[in-house]
Amino acid sequence: MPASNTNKLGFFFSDHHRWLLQHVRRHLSNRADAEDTAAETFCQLLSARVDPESIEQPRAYLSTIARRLIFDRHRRRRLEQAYLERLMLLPEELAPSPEDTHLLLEALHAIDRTLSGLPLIVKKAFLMSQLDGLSYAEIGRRLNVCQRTVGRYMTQALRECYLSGAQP
Amino acid sequence: MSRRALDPVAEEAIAWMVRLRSGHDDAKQQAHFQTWLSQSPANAAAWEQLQRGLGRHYEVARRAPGVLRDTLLQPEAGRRDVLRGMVGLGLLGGGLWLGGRSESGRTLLADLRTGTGERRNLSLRDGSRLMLNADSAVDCDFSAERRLLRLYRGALVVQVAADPGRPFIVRSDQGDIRALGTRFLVEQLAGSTRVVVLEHAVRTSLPTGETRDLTEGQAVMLYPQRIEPLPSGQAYRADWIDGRLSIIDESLATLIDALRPYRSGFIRVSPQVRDLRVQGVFPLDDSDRTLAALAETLPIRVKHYGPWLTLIEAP
Repeated sequence: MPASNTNKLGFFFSDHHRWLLQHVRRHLSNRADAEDTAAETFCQLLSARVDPESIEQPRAYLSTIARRLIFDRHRRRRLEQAYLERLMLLPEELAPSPEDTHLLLEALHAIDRTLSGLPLIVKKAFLMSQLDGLSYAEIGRRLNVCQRTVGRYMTQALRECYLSGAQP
Repeated sequence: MSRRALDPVAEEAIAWMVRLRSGHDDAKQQAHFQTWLSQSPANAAAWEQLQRGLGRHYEVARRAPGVLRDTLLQPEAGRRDVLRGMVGLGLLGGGLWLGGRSESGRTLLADLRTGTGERRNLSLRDGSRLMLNADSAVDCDFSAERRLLRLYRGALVVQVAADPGRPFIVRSDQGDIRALGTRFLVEQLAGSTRVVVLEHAVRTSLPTGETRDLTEGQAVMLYPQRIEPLPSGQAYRADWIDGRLSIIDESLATLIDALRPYRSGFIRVSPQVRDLRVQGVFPLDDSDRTLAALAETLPIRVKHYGPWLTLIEAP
């Protein structure tokens, strides 16, 4: 990124960072979480290589990004909670090690985000194929739908996967 | 929710994947697929993107026990529900919302507070000494019956002057720490309070009635429902008094959280490096130097965008 652009971003941050932090803190009470989210919002601006001068409504722009990040954070928290609840059901020798837990949560979060908004039955069908390698006939039997429907569910889920596979 | 339309090549790649996965795969179909794939670079690129979208995360998830994988099948809280839930949280009897809001109001009005990068060393009316870490806030409520310090944010070390008639109490969000003639550290964290006894003893207590006495060198964490002992040897937690940050085998994220009160801009630690283990003694008042030192010893890259944003990421 050219130096002048970095400078412009510097001004942009200094103009808006206080407002953005306050805005985020209305939704995230934890200070470190809020700071992290505010910083991440600016990061998205950086990685999108947006010229700050081209943004006509900076606050609306920033709050749109922040809203998505806050939503993502809540989604992740819900997932982690569900994970921990289930972890307690597992005998200790089956529970993943702390390092594996970290990796696994990252992976689950990424998958969860990709599939977010899809109907539950679509997710089920897709995960049975993707994780367990079941045939459509078997998936159809388990979900009580015909194979053609399973194919349609797969198409829906794979579209989301395709989008998530876009190069950063 | 409206979905973005994909370009035709992407739809073709997806249709192939749907067919190949069906379980009815045969040699003829395979041959057709190979023809399609080699027909044009666009086809190959679309196939590659789809493969990436089905990549390593699924390999990790595949190895996990089924119960844990099932977390992906929680009923979906729609975006609207989540946002409504967030508003709901905010409006809960007005209490939480106001609580959250007045927190900043309260800390602005708190009797004693320190700003970013500022430590204070104060004498209280009774002769006790109070040391406040940066970005901390305390109310001082002394009466004929008791001496109460309400810690809202940050960390303090107090050296209590003896006064048998008036107990000395530090109150955090989680509970009370009552001096039994002494010097100790109280640190308000998110959802918990750390207490480290530097000299003599204290009595910690929760609103639930649970209490625990600590002697010199002992430390606990107060949670809303329980008091948890910490390993001994935590005295280094008070090193900020001398402008030092001592870290013994903690995550990079924890170290950065300790630096936040000393920097006015944002610091963002990317998830890839958040859990790197760190140890050492770092200067608090020159956090740029600390970050530079970290960049030399850890596999990280520190990028500054003006004074407002610092990114710490994998190299």
